[in-house]
This record gives sequence, C-alpha cells and structure tokens, in this order.
Amino acid sequence: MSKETRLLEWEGEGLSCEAATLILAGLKDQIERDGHPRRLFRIAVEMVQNVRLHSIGPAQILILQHTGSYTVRTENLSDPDAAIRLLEHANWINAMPEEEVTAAIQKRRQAHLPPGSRGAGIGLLEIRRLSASNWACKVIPGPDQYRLVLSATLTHNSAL
Amino acid sequence: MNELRIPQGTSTPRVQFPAGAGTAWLEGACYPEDAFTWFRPVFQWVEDFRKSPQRQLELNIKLDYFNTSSSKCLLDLFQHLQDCRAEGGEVEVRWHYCEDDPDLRESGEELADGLRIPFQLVAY
Repeated sequence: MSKETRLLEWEGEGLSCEAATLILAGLKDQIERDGHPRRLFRIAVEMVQNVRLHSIGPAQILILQHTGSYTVRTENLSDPDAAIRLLEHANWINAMPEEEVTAAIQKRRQAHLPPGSRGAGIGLLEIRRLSASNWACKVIPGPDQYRLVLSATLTHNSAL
Repeated sequence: MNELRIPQGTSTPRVQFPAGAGTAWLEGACYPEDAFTWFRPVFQWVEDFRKSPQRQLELNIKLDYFNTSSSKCLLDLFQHLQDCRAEGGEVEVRWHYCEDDPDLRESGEELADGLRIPFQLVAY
C-alpha cells in the first residue's frame, strides 16, 4: 500500500511576495534537513512563482511525497486571457521533442526581454525538463475566471 | 569605482564585489521573484568595472539554487564580462557546484556554452 505524506500545503487568497518567499524558505530548510531531492525545490520555486504571476484570487500549493515519488501541484484562479496564453505555451512545450527542450531554454535565456518583463518565460520549460516530462497544465473555465492547475511529478526512474 | 556588498537575504545570495580589480563572490541561493530588479546593482558594478583602468576579475559563483529568471540574469552578467574581456579586460568565472548535485553542474555547463571567457567548473 502506498504511503502519502504532505510536505507542504498552503491555501489562501492573494499570495503575497513575502508569503511566497517564506513558504519557499521553509520548504528549502525542510528539503535540506530531511534529505529530499534538491530538484523538488527547483520545481517548487518555479510553480510557486507562477502562482504569484497568474493568480487573481484563491490559490492552493500542495507538495506530496509518495512511495518513490513526489508531486508538486498548484491551483489558482486566473484571468481567462492569461490562463489561455499559459495553456497555449504549455501545449507548445509539450509538442516539443524531449531533446529540444534544453535548446529552447538556452534560446529563451539569450533572448532580449522587453522592459518591464516579470519573468524570463523559461519556468514551464524548466518544469518539464526537471520532471522528465511528468507534468501537466490544465485550465478549467468558469463564468468570469478560469482555474489554472499545474502539476509535476518526480519519480525515482526519471528525476531523483 | 565602489565595492559592492549585499548581505544574504531569504531568497537572495551574498554579494561581494571588489572596489576595482580582484575577486568577486555571489554565494547562497538566488530565487528573487523580480530577479531583473535584484541584479541591477550587480550590472551597474560591471558597467563601472568596464570603465575602470584595472580590469582583472575572478568571479566566483556558488549558488545552491536559482530560479529561471536569475539564470537569465547570470547569462547576461557573463555576456557583459565577455564584452569586457573583448575590450582587453582579464576576467574568468569559477562556477562552484556540490559534487552530488548534477543539476548544478549541468547548469554551469549550459551557461558556459558559447561563452568566450575562461569558465571553470569547481566541485566542492
């Protein structure tokens, strides 16, 4: 029977920058103290900061340890246009052959960003790479706002 | 030009850059939400360094974690140093990584790829 442990659970509205920083700092300490994979933290950083970028209401962050694997899952309300753009970006990433992901990250890292950019546009690519493609991006439409769900899994076979 | 010192923060590394030629350090974790703003004083220091008469620098990067925005800023930083070298400066980068962390080594290799400055991977 598989065992499941909640390493992190946060639920609330309006995740502030300070709160996100504290959540991640606590997670980093926990990962180092208990010997969880560092890669788990690298994925969590990108996913928590993605919530900060795209959340316009209640959000949830969950990190689970299963037997032989870990799951990071975030869910947040999002502006429909932003959610659709993110989903299209995720679909583009998922259509990419695995061997092209690193080159795509390199290309985006070298690209010139317009002033005022809030991110480098690499986060989802990195989540795919770090999770060895065990990730998903879903958008659940609502009347005025959409729910954006991201999840990534680290397994012993792929990434630990 | 002035020395640049920034103490380690919750999500930002310790920064110690010399007042002129010498050894510089970026050490700790680097995942600020707005990396582009956080790195501004570092880029300003490099800009001043490029104008200084003594342009010798050993930049040590010892980061256990960094987010993707910071990785872009690191690459921009290395490219500025590459420009400085093309102008006659002596610069080298030492990328310190924990030997049981292959992701960190790979990140160093990726960031060094295509750069025309001495770039050493240093295991600890």
